[in-house]
Amino acid sequence: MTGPVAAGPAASYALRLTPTARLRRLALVATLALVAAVASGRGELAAVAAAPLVLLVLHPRGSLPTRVRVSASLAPDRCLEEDELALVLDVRVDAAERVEVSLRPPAGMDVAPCEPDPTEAAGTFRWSVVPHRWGRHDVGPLRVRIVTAAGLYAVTLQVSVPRVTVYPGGGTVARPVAPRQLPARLGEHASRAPGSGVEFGGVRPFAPGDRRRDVDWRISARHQELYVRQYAEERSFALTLLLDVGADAGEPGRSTLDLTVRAATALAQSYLRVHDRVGVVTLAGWTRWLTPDASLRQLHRLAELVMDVRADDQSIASGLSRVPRAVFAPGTFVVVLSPMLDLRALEAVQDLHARGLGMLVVDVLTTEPDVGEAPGLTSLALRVWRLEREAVRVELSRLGVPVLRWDGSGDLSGALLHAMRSVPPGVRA
Amino acid sequence: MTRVWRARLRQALTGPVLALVGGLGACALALPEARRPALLAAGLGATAVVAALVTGWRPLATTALALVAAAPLLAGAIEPAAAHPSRLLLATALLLMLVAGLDGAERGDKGATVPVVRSLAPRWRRWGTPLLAVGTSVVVASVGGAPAVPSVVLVLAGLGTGVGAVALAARLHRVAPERVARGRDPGGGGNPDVQ
Repeated sequence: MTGPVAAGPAASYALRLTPTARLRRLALVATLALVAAVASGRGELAAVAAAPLVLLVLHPRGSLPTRVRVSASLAPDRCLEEDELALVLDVRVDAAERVEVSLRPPAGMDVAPCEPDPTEAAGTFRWSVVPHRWGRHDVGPLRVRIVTAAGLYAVTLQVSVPRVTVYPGGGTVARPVAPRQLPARLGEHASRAPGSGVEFGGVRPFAPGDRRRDVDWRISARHQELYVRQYAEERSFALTLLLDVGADAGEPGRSTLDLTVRAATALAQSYLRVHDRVGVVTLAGWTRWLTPDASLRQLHRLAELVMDVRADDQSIASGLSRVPRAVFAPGTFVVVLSPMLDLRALEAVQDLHARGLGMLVVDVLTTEPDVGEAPGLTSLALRVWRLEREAVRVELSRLGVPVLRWDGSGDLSGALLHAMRSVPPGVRA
Repeated sequence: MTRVWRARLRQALTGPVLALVGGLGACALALPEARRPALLAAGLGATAVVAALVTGWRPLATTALALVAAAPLLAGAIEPAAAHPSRLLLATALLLMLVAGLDGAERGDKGATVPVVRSLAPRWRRWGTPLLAVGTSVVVASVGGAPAVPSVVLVLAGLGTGVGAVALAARLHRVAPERVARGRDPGGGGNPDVQ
């Protein structure tokens, strides 16, 4: 009955319409009525057969359409969460009576048909598609039923729709803050070192070789001595995002995986905008990484890597041992996004702490296991679970690593500022 | 209630309501002349219609249609009063309604969105054929019910017309051999999955 049809530009396909149950049933009624009329010798009973026979005779198989022209498009094919997409299906078939189109939208996606546009052809269908969850989604396939010949013949086609890539929505970092000590690279963060930036960094007595335009005449007049203005050198730093996606807990759309991915994308977007180098490492299944880079393509690469992250990858994690040193180069600041549900994240933090890197751990777990009102062992297990998490937090505090509990609603700038500025100078390389 | 839910409800109820009205109505036509075969067919038909709507089983729906159609036909064959042209026309309309209702009740992809339905044919073509069909039934019922002197020629003409109509309908819907063959679409962009 059904058959897949490729989406994309309009293409013409041969149409093989099949008789519906309606045709067979009309033939059945007509046959029964004629048999009754002949057997009983009552000609008037043939009246019951006349209507079905007329319907059958007026819609012969030879008059059916033989070709259909179908095209489906979904635009744009990449978007952010909550963006609105337009799904358009165009069906052109001669002598068709009715076209019925339905689809099964994936979870986390709203699909609503649009009102028909009188200026468009009758075979053009439009839907408004709003994805609520990041990831790669298949919208459809569209189930197109073409009915013709008063419902006596029909065909069902399955039209595939191009896959849409939904990137996580961001907006969790209002201001990209930086550590005090920045590696000597060109960037947009004002460092403590004097240089050729635009941010005022203080004044000092004039020395041979200083430019005349840097002389601060007001202070020079006050002190009867030449003083020049100093400016802060603008530098950048490397930020590596460590995503612990080995477990996913919470309601869909606000689960730990969702929060992790959204925070990672927002952080990367904010810091890449000010030309910092951003890298990523995922701790789930096969450890994957992206070496820090400040290029414009890095955000796209990072988003694509994050798209492949799913908690159902049950491969054995290999930890950070295989990750190249460039990912965690000295001076790199690491943001660990983790639900803290297993010890792999703690081991990774201990490993990075031993390398002398500054860190912030963002705890993205917002729910506890639902044990209901069950007394006894279940509540005891919950208490043990809480104690284990508390033990992890204590261990992180002992290491001097700040931990922020984040439910996806607040701004991460404050916590980042605290973490970046509170790391003891001796610890940072 | 949202627009989507209203549409979903309408889609879910239209078919069953049509089938119930058509099926039970046609069965009720056999009741005034309470002869046992017609009553039996009517009872079985009504039960089968309800069962077919509940189960959604297509063979049961076809059986229900046969039983329901048999009820007024048996009544008309046994009792001359039940073969009145107006009652036969009503039975025809109800049977067509039952066919359409069963068709609508069986369709639908559970879990899918409410189907968007567009009529591509002009209104006159959509309604013209059913009206012509019912009009033909009116003519046949009038002619068949008219008093006439029985003759061999008349019987043979009636029989020939009926058999000829059935033969013509069967011939027009026979599958031609060249239409059965599937093949690659020459201009279809290389997609062989065509129906």
